[in-house]
Amino acid sequence: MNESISAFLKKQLQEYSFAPVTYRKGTVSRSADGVVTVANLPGRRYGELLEFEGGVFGMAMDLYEDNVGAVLFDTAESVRAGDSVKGTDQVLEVPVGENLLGRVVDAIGRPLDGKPLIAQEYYPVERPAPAIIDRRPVDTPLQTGILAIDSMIPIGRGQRELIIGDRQTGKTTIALDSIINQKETGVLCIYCAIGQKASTVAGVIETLAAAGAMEYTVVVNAGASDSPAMQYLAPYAAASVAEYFEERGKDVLVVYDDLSKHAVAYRMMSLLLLRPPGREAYPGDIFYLHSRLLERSACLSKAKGGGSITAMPIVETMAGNISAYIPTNVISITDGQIFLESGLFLSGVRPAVNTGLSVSRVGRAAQYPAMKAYSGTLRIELSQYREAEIFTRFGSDPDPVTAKLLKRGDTLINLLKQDKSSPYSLFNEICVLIAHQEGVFMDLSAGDVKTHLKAFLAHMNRACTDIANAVNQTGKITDEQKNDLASAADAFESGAAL
Amino acid sequence: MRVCRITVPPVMTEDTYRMLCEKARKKFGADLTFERVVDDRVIAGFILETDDGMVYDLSVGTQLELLKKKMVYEEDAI
Repeated sequence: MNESISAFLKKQLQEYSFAPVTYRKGTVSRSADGVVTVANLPGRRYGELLEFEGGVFGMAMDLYEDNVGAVLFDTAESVRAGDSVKGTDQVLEVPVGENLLGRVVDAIGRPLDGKPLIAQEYYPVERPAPAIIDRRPVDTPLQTGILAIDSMIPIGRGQRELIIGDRQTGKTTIALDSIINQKETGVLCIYCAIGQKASTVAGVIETLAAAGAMEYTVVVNAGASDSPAMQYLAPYAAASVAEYFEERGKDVLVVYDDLSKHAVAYRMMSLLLLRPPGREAYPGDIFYLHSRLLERSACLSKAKGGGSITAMPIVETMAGNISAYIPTNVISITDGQIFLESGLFLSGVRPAVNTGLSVSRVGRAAQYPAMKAYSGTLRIELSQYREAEIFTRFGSDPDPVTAKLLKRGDTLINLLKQDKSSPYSLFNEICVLIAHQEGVFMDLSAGDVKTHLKAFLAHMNRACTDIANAVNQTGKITDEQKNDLASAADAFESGAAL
Repeated sequence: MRVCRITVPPVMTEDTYRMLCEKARKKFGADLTFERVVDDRVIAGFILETDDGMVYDLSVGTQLELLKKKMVYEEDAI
C-alpha cells in the first residue's frame, strides 16, 4: 500500500513540469446579493469565469470601460469589497457524458447525490444552436403515452412543445409521464429543475426512480435557494448535457421546469447588475434569453449523426392569462403548446388539456400512421361537443342527434382521462380510440368507464397480441388489422369477453 | 511613477530581492518602484504584480497547490 502511494507520488513529481503562472487580477469594489463589481481587471471578456478569494467562482456578465459586473455561483457572504479576483481566460463548462445518466447535478455539473462523478468531457454552457444546413424536418414521433396528447397534439422528436398552465394543473406530471414513457425507446431524458423547492425536486426524483426512469435520465437542479446565477445557467447546462448525446446520434428529451422562474431569476440578476428594466421589469433581452436556449433543440441531419433534442419547456401562467409577457414570448418561440386549464383539472379531467387552445405545429407530420388513422376527427368532435354542451346549459331539451353528440363527447372526455405515471403503449392508445369509434362505452355511466376501460384493454391485448406487437414496433396498421381490432372490440361490447 | 508589488518569502535575502527588482525594471521599465510584501505562503520564489493588473506567479507555494490539484483531479474526479 505504502509502496503504491510512494510510486504514485514519484510518478506525479516526475511528470510535473514547472511553469510560471500568469494571470490577470482585479479587485472587488462592490458586492451585493450575489452580484459583484470588479474594478481594474485587464483583458476582461464577456462570459469569462472569474475566481474569487476562497474558491468562489463567478461569471462576467457586464463589461464597462473600467469595471466588470459579475454574478456569483455560490453564496455571496464570503466575497467582500477589496478581495482580489482572478481572470481565468475560460468560459464556464459543464461535465457531459454517459456517466451523467442516473445522476443529479447542479447547474455547473457538481453532483448533488453524494457520489463522485467522473467526467468524460466538458462542454461550454453557452453553445451556438445548430445551423439550418445541419437540421432536418421533424419526422419521428415522440410518444408521451398520454392519449390526449399523442392523438390530438402529437409531438415529434426535435420539436419544442410548451406545457403551459396555472399552478397545480399537472404540468410537471405531463413532463414526468413523458419521461417515464421513454423507457425502452432509446430516448434519453434530461429534467432541468429551475427555482423549485428541494422537496418538490426530491419528489420528482423519487417518481422517476420508482418508474425505473432514472437509468436514462439526468436531473439538473438549480433550486429556489440557489443563487440567481445558478438558476439562470441551469437550462443552458442541461442543453449542453443533451447536446453531447445528440451529437452522438441519440434522441434526447429535455424538460425545462420552468422557464417562468428562469425569467424571474434573470430579471433579478439584471436588476442587480443595474441593467435598464423594460416591460414587467424584465430586461430588454428576455426574449433572446429563451430563444437562444430553445433554438438549441433540433433534429439533426443524417450527416450530423441524426440525433435530436426535443424540448418541453414549462411556463406557469397566472389566472389562465396566456397573453402575459413570458407566456407569449415562449409560445412564439416554440412549435406548439399544451394548455392545461384549472377548471378542467378541478372538474376531474386529468390531464386537464384544453384541446381548443393546444396546438402542435410540426408534430402531425411525425405522427404514427396507426394513430393518424384513428385520431383525425377527434379535435372536431371535441369542439362540437363543447359547443353543444354550452347550449344545453340554457336548459333546453336537446334533439336526439345533439343528445347523441353530447353522450359521445362525454364518453370521449372520460376515455381521455388518464392516471398519472401510467402511460399507454401505442396499441393501447389505439384501442381506446377504437372503443370510442365503435361506441363500446356509450351505454355506461361516467364512473363505470374507467373500470370497463381496464377490462377492455386487457381483452384487446389478450385477443390481438400479434397486432399489438406489430403496431407497437412499426407504428403502422393494415386494413385487415383494423377489421380484426373492430371485431375484437365488438366482441367485448356484446359481452362475450366480460 | 508606476508601483509594482513583489510578494516574497521571509527567507529571501536583501541581495536576491535587489537583483529581482533590477530584473523587473529591465523587463517592465526603469520608472518602476516596488512595494515589498512578505508572505510565508510563497515558501520560495516570488509573485510580481504590475500596475496594469497582470500577475506573474513564480512561487513554490502556488506550484505545490497546482501539484496537489493535479493529484486529486488526476482522474477528473470532481
